[in-house]
Amino acid sequence: MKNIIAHFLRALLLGLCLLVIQNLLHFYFHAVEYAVPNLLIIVICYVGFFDLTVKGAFTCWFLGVLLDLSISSIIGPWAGSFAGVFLILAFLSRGMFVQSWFSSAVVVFLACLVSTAMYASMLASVQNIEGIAWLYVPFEALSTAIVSPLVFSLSRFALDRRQDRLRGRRSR
Amino acid sequence: MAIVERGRIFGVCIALIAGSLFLTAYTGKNPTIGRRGAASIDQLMSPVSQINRGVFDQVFGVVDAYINLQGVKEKNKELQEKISRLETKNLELTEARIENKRLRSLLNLKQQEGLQGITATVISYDPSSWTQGISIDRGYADGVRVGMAVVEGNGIVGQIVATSISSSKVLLLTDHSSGIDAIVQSSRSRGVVEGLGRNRCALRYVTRDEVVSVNDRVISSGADAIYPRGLLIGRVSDVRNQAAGLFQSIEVTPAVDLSRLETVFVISGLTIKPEIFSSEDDFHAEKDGSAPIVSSKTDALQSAPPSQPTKEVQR
Repeated sequence: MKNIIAHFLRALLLGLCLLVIQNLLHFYFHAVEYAVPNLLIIVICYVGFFDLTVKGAFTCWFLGVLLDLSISSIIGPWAGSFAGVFLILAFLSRGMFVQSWFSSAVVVFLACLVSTAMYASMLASVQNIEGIAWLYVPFEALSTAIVSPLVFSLSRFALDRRQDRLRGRRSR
Repeated sequence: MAIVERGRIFGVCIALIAGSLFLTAYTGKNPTIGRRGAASIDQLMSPVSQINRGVFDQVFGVVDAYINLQGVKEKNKELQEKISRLETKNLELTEARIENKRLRSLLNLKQQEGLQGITATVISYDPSSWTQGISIDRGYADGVRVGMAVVEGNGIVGQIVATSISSSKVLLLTDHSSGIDAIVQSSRSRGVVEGLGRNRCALRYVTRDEVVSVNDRVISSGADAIYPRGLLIGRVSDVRNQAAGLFQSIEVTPAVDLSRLETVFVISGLTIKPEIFSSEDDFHAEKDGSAPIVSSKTDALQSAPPSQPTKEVQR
């Protein structure tokens, strides 16, 4: 139980750090005009690759709730889309060579597009999304894929504790 | 991965997606819960954002100074130091001049309109491009409340949607969920300005028989009880009369450059100033409570503070 609480606290800390960085990127690069990477989706991909457990699913959902809370009063769309992306990765990542930076970046790019589509469809159920500039979505995915190796390292440092790895080995 | 584990993950993910859908629908109808949560997260993040902004400003300042000094580095060390000092001072002075200009424009707006309020600094933009929002460094403790209008020197910026003790969230007028009751200044046509994202807005519900031209000024009507009457929203940038339909399709460019906000002004109330009355009689009439234009201005903010600043309220 202690380990699970510690894991979620680490995930919270990582999520907050990435949100602050994302805030700063938006602030300095004037996000109203340019696409800025969605850093949390990279963490979701990391969890989808290396933590295919129920705990991993909850971590993704938890990070989604955090992103929802940080951007608007509607809680759920990012949480749902992150859980969806995790589900897809859970069934596909076994067939991927996830240690390669290139393949990871490609997966992050695709995951970003999928999560955005899921987010938009969930948001559309409660809010008018007519007139959204869809053109920026691929650019956001591209910038996310480019920075993914850095965030992967950060995620490994924050989420992949030695204890967890050992426990993983034992369970195998 | 064992089949059982896969099954468990599948079940949990489906449950989480279903739960998220339910949460989306619930918080979409009851935004208060979401706003409270958002305020808490904002409160958690705002000190870090402020520190980071300070650090980044310093870093960018140092980088700028370094780049500026590259050319003279080889000439003379003494001269270099002198230039370095001058450059740093120059940067400081330039910043001070820009800030001075910005604050003067805010003060000017404050004096012209008789607005009371709080000057705030923008500490962060929303981390997603899907929503158009900013966080400011003033919160509940400074007198900021949900539903207050936020302006900049040139016009409307948005409204407060969540407050924590020392920071607040502002929904920009370009957000998809934003709506402002508006008037086209020249033709007096009424409509609702809705956000389209990416620094664009649309003026909706203007019937086809109304005359609206490109470059017309669009101002707030004051009828939504959030924005005082007469504040500039933007200018008409495109008018299209479609072959079918009741309304015109009008695009509005906001008066304020929302991608470069640094200091904003949160309107907390209006001061009735004698200068805004056309004659002394009008002033006394207002004191007796019989001057309709000005009283509607004050009513909008003081007697009916808004709590649900969404489209539903404004329509």
